[in-house]
Amino acid sequence: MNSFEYASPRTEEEAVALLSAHGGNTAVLAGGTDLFNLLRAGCITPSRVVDLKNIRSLQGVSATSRGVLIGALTTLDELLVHPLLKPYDSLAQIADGVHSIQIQSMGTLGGDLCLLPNCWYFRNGYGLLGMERGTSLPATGRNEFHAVLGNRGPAKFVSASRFAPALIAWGAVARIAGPEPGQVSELPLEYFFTSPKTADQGVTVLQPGQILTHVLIPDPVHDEVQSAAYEVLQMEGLDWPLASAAVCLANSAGVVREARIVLGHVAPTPWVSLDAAAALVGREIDETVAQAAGNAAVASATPLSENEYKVQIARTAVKRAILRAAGQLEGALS
Amino acid sequence: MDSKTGRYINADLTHYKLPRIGDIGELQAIMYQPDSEYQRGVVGLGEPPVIAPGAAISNAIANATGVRVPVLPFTPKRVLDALKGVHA
Repeated sequence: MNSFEYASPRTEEEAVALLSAHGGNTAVLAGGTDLFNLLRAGCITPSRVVDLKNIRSLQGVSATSRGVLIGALTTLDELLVHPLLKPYDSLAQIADGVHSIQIQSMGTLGGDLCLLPNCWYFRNGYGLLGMERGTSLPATGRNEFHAVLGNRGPAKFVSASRFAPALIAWGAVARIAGPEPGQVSELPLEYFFTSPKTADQGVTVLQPGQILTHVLIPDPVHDEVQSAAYEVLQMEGLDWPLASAAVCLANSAGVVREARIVLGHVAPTPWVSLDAAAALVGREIDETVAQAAGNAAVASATPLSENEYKVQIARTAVKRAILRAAGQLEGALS
Repeated sequence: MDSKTGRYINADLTHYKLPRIGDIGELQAIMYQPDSEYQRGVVGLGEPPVIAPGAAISNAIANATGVRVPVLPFTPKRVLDALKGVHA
């Protein structure tokens, strides 16, 4: 591991200033559940690591006039039990699905949203795009865990965030500080994620000197909203989903008025499926309707040489997330 | 192993998906020790009981789905590829 400076600021302004130094060759430490893997593997070689854990304003969950504001340092187990988050079933289901008490205790929401991909070419030092001598290794090599949607560009990895699909389905907004101290901006979480086109681009809109400070979940405009998430994992233990789906359904009189469906781990970014949502609007949820939405979600899939099976898994994840939201999923997860 | 670069791409436990305790389920050990086996000196504990379950589970998958998944472990990819008739 390369040596690096360590900084532990107390305020967002200090953090932003510390992160802007060294030409932006800096890294953020929150829970540290993945940062040290990346540092040890040499995937990133920052000159300075800025520890956000002592910044009070980034902690905790609070009710505001616009909705529930979740600090980026909120840990996964806090998400699981916080009374203000009780209405957001899909979030608790995902936190519960992280089958590691250590990661639930240490891992933060901000860390999850900013996770770098688990693509094995990236983790072995070939960069986010997995290029060697002008050839895309994931496109021509081992890609069984790679993207089946949005993979026509140079990025073939899948977005690693587990919480992004559920938060995007809830219409969440990202609050970003920097790069100038005191500067704050907001954007819908959906647009926070990017699919890099060149080797020097990242997986989010964050520029050097910027940090994700909070996620705001606006209060729902509809009274009756059902939500759920469904992740398909290969292993029951610590593992990354092969595909996941999160849904929010606004109903009246048993009929879906509005739907949001977002897939995870199938594309370089969380994948919003307007087609799947459209398949639900105006209908009562049953297995046939949920299946039609699942089909719509993957209709434009372009699997790589080894990952066609993921299309079926993504289809099923969407179907089961919808049935789970509607209270119709049979079995242990209902 | 990546055939282009010759490098191991799953040299860690994130990517080398060994089953862990949560994947094993409830196990009940039943000691099978009839005199007939003892007299022949056939004694085994540990590895020998591992031989049968793979075949038994493989048969269960074939019984449930109608297709054979001939390679362990039975990953989602292998089962779904077998169902689609894709050579795993």
